[in-house]
Amino acid sequence: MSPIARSLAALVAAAALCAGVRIAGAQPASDVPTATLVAPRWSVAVDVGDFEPDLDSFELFYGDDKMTAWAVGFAYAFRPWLEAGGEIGRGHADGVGILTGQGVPGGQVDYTLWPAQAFVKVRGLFRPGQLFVPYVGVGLATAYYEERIDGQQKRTGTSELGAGARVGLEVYLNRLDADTHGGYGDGPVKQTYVYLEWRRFSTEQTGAELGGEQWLLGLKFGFGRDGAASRAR
Amino acid sequence: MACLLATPAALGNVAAADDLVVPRDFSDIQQAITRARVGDRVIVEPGAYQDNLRMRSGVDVIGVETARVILRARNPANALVTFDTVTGSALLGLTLDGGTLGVQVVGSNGVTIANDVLDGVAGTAVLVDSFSTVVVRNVTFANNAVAIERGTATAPVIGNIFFGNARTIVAADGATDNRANVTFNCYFRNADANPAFGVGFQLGDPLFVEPDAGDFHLRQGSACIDIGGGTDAIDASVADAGAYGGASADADPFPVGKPAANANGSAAIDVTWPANLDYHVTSSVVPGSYRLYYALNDAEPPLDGTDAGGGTQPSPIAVGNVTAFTLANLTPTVAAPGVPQLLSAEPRQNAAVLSWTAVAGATAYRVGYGAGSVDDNRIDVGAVTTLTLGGLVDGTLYRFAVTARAQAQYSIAVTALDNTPSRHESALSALTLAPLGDVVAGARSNELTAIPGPTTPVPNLPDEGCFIATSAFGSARRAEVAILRDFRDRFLLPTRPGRALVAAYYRASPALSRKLDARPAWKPWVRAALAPAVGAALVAVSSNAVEKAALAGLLAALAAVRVRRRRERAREEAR
Repeated sequence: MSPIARSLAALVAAAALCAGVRIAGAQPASDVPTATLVAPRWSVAVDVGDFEPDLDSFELFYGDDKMTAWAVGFAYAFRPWLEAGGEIGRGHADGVGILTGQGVPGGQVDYTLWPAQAFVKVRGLFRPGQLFVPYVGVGLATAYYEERIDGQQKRTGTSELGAGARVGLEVYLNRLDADTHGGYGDGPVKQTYVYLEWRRFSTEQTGAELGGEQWLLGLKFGFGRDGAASRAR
Repeated sequence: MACLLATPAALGNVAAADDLVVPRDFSDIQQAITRARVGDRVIVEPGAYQDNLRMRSGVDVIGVETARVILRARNPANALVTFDTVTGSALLGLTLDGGTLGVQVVGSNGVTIANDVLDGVAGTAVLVDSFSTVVVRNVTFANNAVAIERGTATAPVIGNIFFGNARTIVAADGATDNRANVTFNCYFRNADANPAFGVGFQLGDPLFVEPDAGDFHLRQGSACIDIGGGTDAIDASVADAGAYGGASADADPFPVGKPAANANGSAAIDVTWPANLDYHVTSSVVPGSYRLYYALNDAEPPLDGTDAGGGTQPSPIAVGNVTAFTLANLTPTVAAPGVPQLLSAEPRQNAAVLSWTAVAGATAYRVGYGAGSVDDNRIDVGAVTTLTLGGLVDGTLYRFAVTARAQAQYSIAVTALDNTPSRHESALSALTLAPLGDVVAGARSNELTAIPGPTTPVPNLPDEGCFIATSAFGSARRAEVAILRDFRDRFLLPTRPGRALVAAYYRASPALSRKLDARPAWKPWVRAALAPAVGAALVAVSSNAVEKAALAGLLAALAAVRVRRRRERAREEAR
């Protein structure tokens, strides 16, 4: 099974789990809390973690099979359980290339990737103030790349449009500390989540796969109405 | 930490007063003040320090050289130095530079502020409340908003220079001070509306040597010489006003600027240096003098060369009151350097990157290389241990070797001496290195080989380049394309919006460039359309900030003129 097929299988399993939890968590109409389930419409997120490119030889040339990556993104919630958004990230590695004509590693190469993704996320959010919120998402992916090769002209470009998927778990910090956003006073941040996310995306450029797998830890800040948080208390 | 433990004050078991030396014993001045005991002195060696000091009772802070012990605020909102309920403490021999408040004295007694320079304080340089007893003596106040603000007129202000301050001495409530206890001060270019100068004052240009470089010594002809009251520590005459007058003045002249040295034949070096313009050095009655220090193949003080003048002029040489001297009849000798080890020869496209071990005493290296032998070509480089050797032919096997080379090298510095009987001497100037004599080569290193060639990155991705411009101008190597590429790399890629713009361009441009290639007749029109962009990019990448600002100003002015003309025309038409 290819990495992408494995990832899709994991994604489907996670989606099924998420949907199952939703069904199991559904309550009779009479038991539904009087509080309305709402969430801030807009949110921004910033995360950092590892990016493992889908290149078998990456470690040979860059000394590690992973590179440190970060990303920033935003999302809009059509429903508390349905979000769409976009993000841009960065991964960078210093290493060597192949000495053409000799076929051995050599030369200095700085490889920088700026992945950009647009996504739709389904969140397992069932009640106001829910502590753990699992989610799955799918979307489109592309990447801007830059290869600086010592003594040669820099190479830059953009990869083809590909696909991406993600699974994660958000922890609602306002629930752990109701004043999490209190430090902002009457500021715009109403909800704060910390999240752990597994992500995979695939995008090619002239047959080379630039995507890979990411594990990211991040913070997500919700802006605007605070219905879920205030009613949960 | 070892330094801390070795300090008597840190041990806390020494009864006698100590000198705590910064940065030898403590890394910063405040740390030394905090650890000092009553009677200790904190001695501050030359350097630039960033701190806000809180003085303590019975602890003096003394700069070794006023001009070269510079204190700037760590927190500009706070006073540089604060005496808060302190008794018996002095601040001597420092330059306090900038900040919003210089020295603040609150509820303190027996405070002395002397032989300091307070330069460019945005607020009050010395602020004394009505409960303190303070002496402000032989301080140079330059370019401050308010030099002294007193809450009590009993604080004596003696022998100071007030230069370029918005106000000199004011009462704490902001009114004009009554000038009681203001004596023997020197004033010039202050902006007081209604100044009263006190007793024994002098009005006139202090003729500082070079205030922009922090040298507030006085030149010959200064109005502030011998008018400060009391006696000078430097020349035992009537004290000068300002930081370099009075009994506790720093006596050493300001260091001489870095000398220039040029080989004169194979056994002589011509040395010149800028004059020290302190009147104690330049005096036309009894001039000061200079000393020239040198050493052969040793850049560390003491500079104790012995071979000048055929061995008759050991370092230092008293050269008199001149600013040029020739070190003649030198014997530049140097031992042959050892053998370097060539560590690597990494191939690059049309190049190779070499690295080798450093050899003690080597002042340069010679790299030999060639397709047949390392003797085919040679290139001399300085005292470096890496070299990117270009101009090689890809696919050809090259051999490389390195030879260390050494040449006798003289280290030269100059000091200034004043005209007093004590002949106070400045610190050494910055060192100048002067190579001289024949070059001696060591043995050749090991040989390494490399086959230059391009590097293929992993993943091997294409450079999409400037599609439209490349297509329009016909080649990615055209200057116009290179200018646009340079602009992209320097101004667009470093910013997120720029990268987004580049990414959007790269998405759209391949299709457009294909269409352009299919219709060559369009290319002149596209080139014409790109010309303004190329011109703007050229200005952006090849001009400095001042030129950019001037151009922007010119364009703004043209635009303003045009708008004005259009409005006038509209007004006329309306009539």
